[in-house]
Amino acid sequence: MNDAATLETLVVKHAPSLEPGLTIVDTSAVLGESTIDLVGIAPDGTLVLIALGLVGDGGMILRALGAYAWCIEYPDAVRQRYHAARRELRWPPRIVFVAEGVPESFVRKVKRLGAPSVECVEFRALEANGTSALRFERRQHVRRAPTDRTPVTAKPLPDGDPVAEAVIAIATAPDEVPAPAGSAAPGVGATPTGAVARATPPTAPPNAPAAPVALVPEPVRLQAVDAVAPVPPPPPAGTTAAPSVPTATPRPASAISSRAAPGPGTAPPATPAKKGGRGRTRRPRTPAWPPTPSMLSAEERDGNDEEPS
Amino acid sequence: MTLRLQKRPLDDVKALEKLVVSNAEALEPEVRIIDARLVLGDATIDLVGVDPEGGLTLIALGITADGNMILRTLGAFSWAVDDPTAVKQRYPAGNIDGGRVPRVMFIAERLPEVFRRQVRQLDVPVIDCVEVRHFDAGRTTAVSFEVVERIRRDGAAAVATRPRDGAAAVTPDATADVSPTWRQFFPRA
Repeated sequence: MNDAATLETLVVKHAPSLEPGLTIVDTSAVLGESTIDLVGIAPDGTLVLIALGLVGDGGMILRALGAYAWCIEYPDAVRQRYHAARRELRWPPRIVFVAEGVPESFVRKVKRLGAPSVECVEFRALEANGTSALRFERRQHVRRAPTDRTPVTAKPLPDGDPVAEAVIAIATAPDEVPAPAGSAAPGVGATPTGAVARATPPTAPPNAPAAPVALVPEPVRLQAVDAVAPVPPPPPAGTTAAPSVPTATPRPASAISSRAAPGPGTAPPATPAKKGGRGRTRRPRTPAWPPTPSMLSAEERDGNDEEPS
Repeated sequence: MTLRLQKRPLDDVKALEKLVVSNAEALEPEVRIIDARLVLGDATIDLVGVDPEGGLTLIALGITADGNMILRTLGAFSWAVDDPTAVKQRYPAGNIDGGRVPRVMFIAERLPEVFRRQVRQLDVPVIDCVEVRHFDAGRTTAVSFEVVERIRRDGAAAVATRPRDGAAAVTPDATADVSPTWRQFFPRA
């Protein structure tokens, strides 16, 4: 994870993985003098203030504290602001800290915040055997009864047992989609309902899913990456051609953009780089879209003809 | 003879620290300042005091109270609560009662409403926000400490008294802690 903006994008995209039913209703919300990174509404109607950071620090605490204090002081303003999102908001708000690293000193301070529910969630971007995964792991959850703020019920988690509180995490994608060759930004993809984005290893047999998986021809995908990578030739015969409009490419709900090593069956042969006049490596040209009939194999042309327009 | 007071701005936190140490009695009767710039965990608290009952008092200083004061105090307080024996062993002659939760005091020349709003949402049982004013009075100087926010959480009831707007919820016994200047604004029992 490089920056907090990426983390924000990921959390917004996978808010249900953070907490089932959580809806993000605002980003970079200015509440009083503080700016809280995300504002969500839990299924029970509770406002959730989410502070993001790569490493949990004092700035996150202050942002959350300032926003929470303002919400407590001006509940009507908050209700009015998020009125459209839900008819009735439950009170008081909850605080969730999401960071890639949560130091012990941070957790110790967080335990002394007066909010009735404060959570620390660690975010991890994992990668193993060409499979990218995202994981939200609840590190600390401080709960207090709303009327009694004195007793603090803190549930520290043993470091060696991450499964214990990983209830909001590691929901493996139910259906694995054969990943197309190529690469995407790490950790960007995930199933909408799971906290984990998985890419099937290229060696895995492409089990036939119920919904037809359209493998997008290489030129389309690589155009989306601004044609930085060398463009391989059209896919070998037997690959299903995509519809003619690239933006309307149907992707299943659990489609995963993943990072995976190119497989033997789908990987196109590497295009040898040509040398320029001054010794520079020239990039091969990106073929124009849509592919001309000459670029498609006979089977692909037949497949296109069969599809209804 | 009339005494003319002229406000004297504080230069820096060091001057404020000196002022508080030399006038600790005016701040709170019988409070002893036993240490300065104490490092507790990863936080540094400006002053450490002990009241007659052996309760530890963590004092954070600033010209204008800000979030940094809150963070420092939060760090020191949480560390002192988590490991009270370490604090007690540090001051063997201090007669510190390790069973008592430390109290927190914020002392600054200006305590903005934003700051006080955040302080109210801390899970610290006893918090005092004190505004300090330094005056020139002829050939001598005068110091005034004014409690602008007094937060007491006792057992199940969380009470925040706000002297400046007397409409705040106040328990009858809480007025005993209010300075005489502000007692007139509180409802009589």
